[in-house]
Amino acid sequence: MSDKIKRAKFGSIQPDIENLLGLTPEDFAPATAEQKTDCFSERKSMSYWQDAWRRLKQNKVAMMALGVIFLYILFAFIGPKLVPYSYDGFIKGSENLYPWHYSLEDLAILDSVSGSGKERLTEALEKAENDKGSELNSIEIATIKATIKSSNLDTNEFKKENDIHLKLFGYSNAELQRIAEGEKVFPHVFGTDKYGRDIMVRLMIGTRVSMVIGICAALLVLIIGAVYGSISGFAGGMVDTVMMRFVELIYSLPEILVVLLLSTALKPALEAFQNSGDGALQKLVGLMGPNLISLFVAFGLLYWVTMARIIRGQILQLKEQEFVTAAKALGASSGRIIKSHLLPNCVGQIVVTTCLQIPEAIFLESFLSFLGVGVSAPMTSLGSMAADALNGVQTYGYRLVIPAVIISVMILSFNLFGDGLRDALDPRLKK
Amino acid sequence: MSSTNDKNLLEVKDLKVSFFTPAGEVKAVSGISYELGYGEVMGIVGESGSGKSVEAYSIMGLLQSPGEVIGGSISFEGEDVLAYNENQMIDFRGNKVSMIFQNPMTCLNPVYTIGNQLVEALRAHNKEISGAEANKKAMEMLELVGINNVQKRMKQFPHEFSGGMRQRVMIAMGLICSPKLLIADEPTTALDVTIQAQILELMKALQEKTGMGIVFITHNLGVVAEICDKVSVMYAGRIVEQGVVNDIFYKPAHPYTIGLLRSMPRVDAEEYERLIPIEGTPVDMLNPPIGCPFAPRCEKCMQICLRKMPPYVELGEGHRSACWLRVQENMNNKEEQHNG
Amino acid sequence: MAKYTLKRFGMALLTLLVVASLTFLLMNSVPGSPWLSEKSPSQATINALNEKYGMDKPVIVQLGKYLENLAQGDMGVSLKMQKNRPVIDIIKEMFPVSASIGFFAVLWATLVGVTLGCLAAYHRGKWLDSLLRVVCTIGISMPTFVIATLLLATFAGSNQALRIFPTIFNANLGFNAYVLPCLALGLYPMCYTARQARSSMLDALGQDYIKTARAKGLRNPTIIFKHALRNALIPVITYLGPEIAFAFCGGFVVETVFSVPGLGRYFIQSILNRDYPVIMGTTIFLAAFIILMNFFVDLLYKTVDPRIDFTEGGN
Repeated sequence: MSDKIKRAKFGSIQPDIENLLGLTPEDFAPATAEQKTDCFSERKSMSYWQDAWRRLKQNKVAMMALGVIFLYILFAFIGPKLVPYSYDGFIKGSENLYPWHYSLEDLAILDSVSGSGKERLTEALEKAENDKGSELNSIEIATIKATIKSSNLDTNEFKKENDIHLKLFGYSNAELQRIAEGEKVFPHVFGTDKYGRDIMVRLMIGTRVSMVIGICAALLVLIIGAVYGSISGFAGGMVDTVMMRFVELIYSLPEILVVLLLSTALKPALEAFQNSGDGALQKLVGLMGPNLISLFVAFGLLYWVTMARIIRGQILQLKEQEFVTAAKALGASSGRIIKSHLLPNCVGQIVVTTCLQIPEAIFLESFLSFLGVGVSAPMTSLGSMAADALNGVQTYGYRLVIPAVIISVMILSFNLFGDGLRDALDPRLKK
Repeated sequence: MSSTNDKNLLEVKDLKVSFFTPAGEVKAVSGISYELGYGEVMGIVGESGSGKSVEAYSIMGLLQSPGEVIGGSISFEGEDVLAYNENQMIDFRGNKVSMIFQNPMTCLNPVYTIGNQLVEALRAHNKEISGAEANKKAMEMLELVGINNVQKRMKQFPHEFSGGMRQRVMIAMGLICSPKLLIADEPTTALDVTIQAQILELMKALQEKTGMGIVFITHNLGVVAEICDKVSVMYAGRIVEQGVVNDIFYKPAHPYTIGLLRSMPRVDAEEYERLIPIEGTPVDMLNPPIGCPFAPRCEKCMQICLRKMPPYVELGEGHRSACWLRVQENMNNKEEQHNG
Repeated sequence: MAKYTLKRFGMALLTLLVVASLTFLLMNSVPGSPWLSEKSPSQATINALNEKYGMDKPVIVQLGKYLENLAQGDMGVSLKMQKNRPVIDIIKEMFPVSASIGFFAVLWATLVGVTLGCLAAYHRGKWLDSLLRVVCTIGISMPTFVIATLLLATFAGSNQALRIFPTIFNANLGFNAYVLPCLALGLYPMCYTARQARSSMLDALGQDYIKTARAKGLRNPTIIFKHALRNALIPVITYLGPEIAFAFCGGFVVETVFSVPGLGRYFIQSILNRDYPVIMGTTIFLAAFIILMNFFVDLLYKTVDPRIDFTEGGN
């Protein structure tokens, strides 16, 4: 084998740089320990949470989503205080306002023009009838109408020529009068519905309802799921198997059906309860309505399974680690181990899953409200507003689009933020 | 086995590979060179993070972003591998050079049978071969690597094989196209010690039979002693010592090599002898220190070691080491020669 | 395999039993009885009902009787909406429409979703990937009713030019009638499937056996379509079950918006009208269907993944 090895000159240094190095004997003196440790540049050590927060801040999409959520919170909770209308207040005379209006002067001009058109039509019809000597038949009337119409001013052209534009926000004529008289009237930013209720305020309240429901439902699910999952995961063995079988059973139940079923079943009972007295609990029941209560009940009964599965998975992983064995060796009780050692390590997962449950709850609530089995009047929700707007979609299209967009953006923001959280807390999962 | 010509099977010259991560450039390999002749077995030794796997991946063109070869050359039988286009690379991989990996448990596709995957490897480079012939050849390979019941085994799925057997299958898959070079990236690390020995035996036997060259990557010097002809010791992306296996084991010339040898448990050690570990922690490849990368952990560290990279010193018969101690020795010898 | 199938089937049956019992018990908690429509029925009616449903007996017996009737296909008659018409007949009439819309929706959602997901994974990091991810994230944030109503508003709105698809469902109109409902119903599942497919494709592409495949000298298409895809599809199958369930429940909204004479819309109406026999019967029927579908998907999943061993004495 040795004949394959190249032979180089013994003792040669490659490259032959010794003369260029200018080495002195001091260079070959031994180095001290401090000099050696100085070589390592210390990277600032960060705690897990600092690291995660730093990663989260860098995620622009997630930060924007958080900003949007914050705006929503302002919209939903501070907004109604700024708008002088209430969500269930009928305002006579302001029914069916569009989110735009013409100023009083422009209205007068337009009226006069169309008015002249009407007069001319009546004149022409009378004249034709007199000429004919008998009643006009429908074809003749239609012909005359068409002639007049074509000789009418083209409204759009007219508007352009006379610089008549739509102005933002909805006002009824009466309100415009009051403004002209110097009173300050808050605009109907999104118009009013057929009862004269200001739509923007209703949207704000609807958003508030959706958010509160989402967060409360998510918290409910968190508590039940975390407790169940940690017990199941920690206990292991037969207990775990049985508990997970139960989870499988629940998982295969069609959730929406159960919610609907529950609300139907609970309605009479809750109504009876509501009417039974005047206490705070009854009021609360009355406020929420049986549908909402069954939504919470169903959520609490069914939706905790995802959280339970995730927590159980985490616990199963963690409990094999040495710090748990150490705790046991020190005599810690099971409850304490779960509470102080295992659950804190799951916090990341818990936070992310909870955050992602919120949009699910909002989704479900709006879905049900749309169908009419969600919140009950007079409480409003974005879903029920969309449902109400469905009939008049051709004339009042915006009444459908605006709540739809609001709810979609809300769900989107929670989803994006939840995703960002997950990426920040466990970057290994990042794809 | 004698070499067929003066060309080397594989020549790596001053290879540099870096990973351009968001945190900065990680210089995984900073200029390594070695040569492998036909039928030779070269061991590449180093700890995790030393860059040994990275350089192997570069040979096969398997580097994935953000990794890039930023300098140097790799020639196989005189051809520049780094300049291959896609078709040439596909012809090269699995056919002229094969690679087997560390974790046999995950390296086989779980949804296809062993037979399917073996035949696939063969037909990728031999399009004209018939199905029946390919099957026959696949079964031959399985027998060659020591698997029994080949008929039955061909139709089984990877999860029905044990770890050691899966690695045998990997070897069979690697050799089915009769490559001239096999790159083995820590093939025994994930296996039990007894299985390790069996696999090594198998590889030795196959190497002798086929005359192929092997680049054997490992962190285990015991394995190196078993199978390798030449050794390159890598640390922090550089080769710190290189030579024939006997030289490395009996005349180690670099403190790192010496440290590795000292920290190995020995069968013939006295009961009271303690293992002597290498102190310190591996290098942070994002901010490698100037000077010799091993200096902070070296008990013989000198002032110059912390300031300048040591050059290579030839110690005879292909044995070289990059260490200021050897330079110092060399300078002292020269002085003596002058004076003497 | 047989043992596994039996086990799964048993589980499915048990779930169905639980659902049926739960439904019955819940409906029974309504004051009065679910079977009575008038406030003061005649004695003959009461006797007949007692006979059939055991209303004078304890709840457990009533449950037993209900389940017995159920097994024979008797779900009672509609009390409010179509007086005295057997519920099972109503279901038989309305279900096929819902099923067809649901089927087409799930079909296009799965096919398109998987394709887009794999495309995105293959072009990871490039503009196509980013675009698809944005679209799918928005898609799963829009509740079905939002999509359905927006489609309705667009295609039934004032702009005549857009009236290409009918917004009121009429099976006689053929393919066109299905477009909008299936589009609305399938959008959410498609986006979800695409995300899943992308994620599991990326997972598969990062596996060691892909490294081996490349080292063997295989070409890219082979690596992707032969090696990665099959492994990536396996997790996608697990989503098929919930997808089918969703197709039914999302159907409630779609049928309402597009006036489809299907079981979903009828179900919602029966809830609003408190027609209890219909509510019970439809719930159990839908639940049974979903459970059955889940069972089949489970079987499918286990057949496709050879790692799952159902022979005795295996690994």
